[in-house]
Amino acid sequence: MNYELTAKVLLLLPLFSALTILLLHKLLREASVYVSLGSAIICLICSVRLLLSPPSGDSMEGMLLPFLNLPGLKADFGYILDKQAIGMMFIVTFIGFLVHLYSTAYMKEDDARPRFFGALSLFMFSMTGIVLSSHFVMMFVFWELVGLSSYLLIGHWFKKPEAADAANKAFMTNRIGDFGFMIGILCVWALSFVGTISDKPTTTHALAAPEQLLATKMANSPTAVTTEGADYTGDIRFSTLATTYPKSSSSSIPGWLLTLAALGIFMGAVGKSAQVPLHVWLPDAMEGPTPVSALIHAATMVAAGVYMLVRAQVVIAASPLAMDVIAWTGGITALLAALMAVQQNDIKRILAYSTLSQLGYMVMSVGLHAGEAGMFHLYTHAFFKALLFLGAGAVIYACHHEQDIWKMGGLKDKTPMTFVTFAIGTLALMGMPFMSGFFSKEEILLAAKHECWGLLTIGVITAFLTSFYMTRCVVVTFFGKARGEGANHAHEAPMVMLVPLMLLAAFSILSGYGPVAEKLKALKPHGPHGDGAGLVMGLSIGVFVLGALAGLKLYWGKDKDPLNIPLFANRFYIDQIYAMIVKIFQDRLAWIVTAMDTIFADGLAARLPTAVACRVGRTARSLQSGQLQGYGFVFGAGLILAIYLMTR
Amino acid sequence: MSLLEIIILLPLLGAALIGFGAPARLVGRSVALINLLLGGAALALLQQGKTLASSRVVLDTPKIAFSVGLDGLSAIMLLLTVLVTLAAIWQIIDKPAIYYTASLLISGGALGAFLSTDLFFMYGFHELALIPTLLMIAIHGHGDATTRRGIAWKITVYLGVGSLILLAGLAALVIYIGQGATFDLGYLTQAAANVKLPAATQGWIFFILLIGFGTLVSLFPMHSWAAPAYASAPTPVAMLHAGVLKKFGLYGLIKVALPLLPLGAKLEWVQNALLLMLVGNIIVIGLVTIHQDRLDTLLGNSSVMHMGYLFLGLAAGSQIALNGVVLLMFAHGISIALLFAICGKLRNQLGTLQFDKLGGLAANAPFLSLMFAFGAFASIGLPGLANFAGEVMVFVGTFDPSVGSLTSGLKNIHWATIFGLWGVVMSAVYMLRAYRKLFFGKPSSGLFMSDLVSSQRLPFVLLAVVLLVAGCYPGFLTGLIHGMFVTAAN
Repeated sequence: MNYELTAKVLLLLPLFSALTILLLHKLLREASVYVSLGSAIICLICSVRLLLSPPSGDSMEGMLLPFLNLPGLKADFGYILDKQAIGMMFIVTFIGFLVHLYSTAYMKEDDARPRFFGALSLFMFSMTGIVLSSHFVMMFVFWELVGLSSYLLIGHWFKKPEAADAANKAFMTNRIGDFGFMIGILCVWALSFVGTISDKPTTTHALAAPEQLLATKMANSPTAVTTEGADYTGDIRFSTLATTYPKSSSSSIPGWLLTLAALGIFMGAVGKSAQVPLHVWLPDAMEGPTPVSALIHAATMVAAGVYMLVRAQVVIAASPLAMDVIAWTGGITALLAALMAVQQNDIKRILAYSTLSQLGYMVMSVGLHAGEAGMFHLYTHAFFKALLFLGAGAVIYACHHEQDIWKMGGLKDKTPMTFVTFAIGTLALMGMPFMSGFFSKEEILLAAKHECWGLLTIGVITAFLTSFYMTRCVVVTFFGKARGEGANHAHEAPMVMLVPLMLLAAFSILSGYGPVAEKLKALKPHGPHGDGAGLVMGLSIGVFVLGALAGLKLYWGKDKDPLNIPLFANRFYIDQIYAMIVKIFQDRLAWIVTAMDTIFADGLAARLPTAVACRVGRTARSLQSGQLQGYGFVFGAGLILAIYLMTR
Repeated sequence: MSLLEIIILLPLLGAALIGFGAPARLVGRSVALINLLLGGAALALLQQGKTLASSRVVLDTPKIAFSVGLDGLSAIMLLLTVLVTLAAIWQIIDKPAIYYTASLLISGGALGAFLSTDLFFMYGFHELALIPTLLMIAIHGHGDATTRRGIAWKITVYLGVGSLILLAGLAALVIYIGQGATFDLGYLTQAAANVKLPAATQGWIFFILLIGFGTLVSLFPMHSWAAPAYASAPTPVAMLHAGVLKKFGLYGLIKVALPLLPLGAKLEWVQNALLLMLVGNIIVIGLVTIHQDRLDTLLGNSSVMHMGYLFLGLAAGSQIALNGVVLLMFAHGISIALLFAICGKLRNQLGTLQFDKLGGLAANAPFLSLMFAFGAFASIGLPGLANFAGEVMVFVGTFDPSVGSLTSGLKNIHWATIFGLWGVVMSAVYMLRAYRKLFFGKPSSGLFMSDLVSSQRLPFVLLAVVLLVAGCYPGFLTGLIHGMFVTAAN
């Protein structure tokens, strides 16, 4: 198999599809949909072939496209095909294809279908770019491009003010994250010029042996970086980080710099993966069409933060402080988001907060030195959360665009297939034993148990809450009696929408097991986790049962919410606080600065000389009226000065 | 007559012909098109390694010659000028012939300034381009007569005084380095290596040039002429000035000040002053831009703000940063010209640019909406469009080890970069807000915006495609200036 060609097809075919639709949508019309769908199918085939016959050796690197190549800044686009990239690529193309398929039916009534599918193709291009990225600048480029496609798709119904506002909020919040990301990249780049490598190689597992050897060899000679034959200066490739990036602070490399680099990189992930405090954009992003929420705002793009952190593991692991910050940010996000989810009534918002919470788990595990557990959860979560969102889409479709779960009810008989698949997704998310979510959550909790009891507690409480709010969601939506017009006349979604649900349901179970999990597992397992596994398993089964029972007890047969916790329902008032901060620190400050600018720069510095010049101009105007003289005066004075200076 | 001379004189000749009554539209558009082709030809010749230069001595002592030459830097400016000129000329519809004359004069003056290798002519051509700019704002500017006259006066004074200071700086160069004998830039550059001015003297001259050139580029706090000028200027003039002519200040600093005064640029007090001013551009004007409630002043202020990044790259002075500055000059010129062109179309049809009166334009004008997206996303540094590569190179260049080692703590320039990165966030805020308010949401009642007819789309598509191509393959432009700044960096 030609790997370079495969990588190129995966990257460029969706771009080609997007450009075709952009340029020819008037000609293609309905065919635009099939252009996009076709590109998604071919990409899926490519990535399945990669999954089945991965390149020999652990990874493979190569060049894709020229971008920037200056002395000191090598940033041509390349690709990496390793287990992590191939696994992620399968998730992206598989769920991407199913969402394309689903959307052909879901978006049938929409007049702007070509635009929708064009933006989907643009998203596929950007996302495969992130997955294939071989270095930080390329990652950043596609990082921003997924931001753009997310912006376009959230704002698909741009005439709706909420959708337009949500699109802006998403892009701007991500920009704040990217502010840090760029600082991090700059620090990593600058560190590549610091020619010494940590003199204390850390003890890692056996796999790293050859690299370690190289690192030790290089540490022995001061000018090692150049004498090794490879010029690492200005090199920001992920593949060379392991050998070139300092493992810990030393006399020549201060700790604060490593921490700045690590936290900067992490800030990028905080934005993209919607971690506290930049989580506010994700729930609002639900204004976009539901298939978009499934693909971009649940399964793939928001998980890109975790993917990137695992890629940049060496950088963040160099700073213990940063690792603590990452783990706790993830833990706090998991808990807060789960609490918020308990009191939401919009079915998509419940799922959105649940996504935040699960992303928190993944980020937490990265901070706990268990990136592979995070990646595993990313994979399983991608399947069941995409399933839940597409299921929610089918429910919304069935209920004639009703999204409030309290106006649904009794749907299990009217939409049986949707109910069964949604239930499977729910159980996987709740972490029922033998479902995929159980296994992956288990690994994260296990990592927490080894590193930090506080985070284990948070993780277990979050698991309980997850079980509780998902039970609530299913009970209220599918059981009891219909409570609204839409639910009364509900009808099952067409087959094109149901097939993706069934496939995702199958993967929501299977991805926890043997062959599938093995293919997908990003990295080598962390090592035997024997001790404590029993305790963690007991805890997670316990809270699963407790949460489900509590949910059933409280919500079975209820017509309105028996719980009323304004703090959770209003999302801890964080959005309101931010609005206030923006008002004060941006709009007010802008007003003050503008006023000062007008007074000083414009008033004193400009009006005064202008007034003087006007007087002079008026004298000149006695000859003739017009502006030319005034200017001529200044210009002439300049010439006179020049002549004076030269002939002096 | 050499190719470069033809490129400079053609627009001036065209302007004269229109003045004598030749059909304005025909002459204007033909000159713009021919110049685009000639510019492309000059670029192709340069890439093949041909030297394009010629010289005509005008005065013997001190030696002043009409000499022109093309290096990678001036080639990029040439390309920028001919592209924007074409787009600007196409924006003139149902307007008096003076619009064409003025545009051609500005274009010719800018070309002369960028292609001259003699300080005298470099300066003179720039002044030649400024005069029609000022007159057009005074006579045909938007707004009522008193306001636009006030604005015209303000610019005249600002740019006039700026030019004077600049002239003093240039004169100092000629006297100290050229011994008063010549204005020839090539000779001066060689002489600078031999004369070895003390750093302190270099610092002062550099600072004078910085203030002089800086005023022309709206360096904070000499910026307050720019935003009202662009808001008031007729569309083609705004495009040509913001897109092209304004870059002359930076071009001068890179082409004249840096190579002639390498030590002066590195002096700590000069550096700190420059950093303070450019952070003013980015943060202060960034906030001012957020506060704007109409499109024209928003674009004007954003253009002032973005000059901060260019000065940041200049302050860093590393090879990567200077490459980035050149790329960003080009990118900013194209993107701001595109945005001003759209702004002009909106003003013509809607009669207002007030955000709270507009909305939902995308429904009826999808093409304009797409083009605005190109310009807006380019100017907020979206990868794939030209500005991103330039910005990244500037930012990366400030972290270059030649600028200062990071390991001993963040230097002032690193802080300036961090402020600059925050500026990128602010850019996103005001541009996306503007896009949201103008094009998204419910269409405003009573105001209908029809989309452009096909014949008017050409210049927009041209600029958008250039942004895309330069953004996806910046190597084409950086290849032209490859190695130019090695000495400047060391």
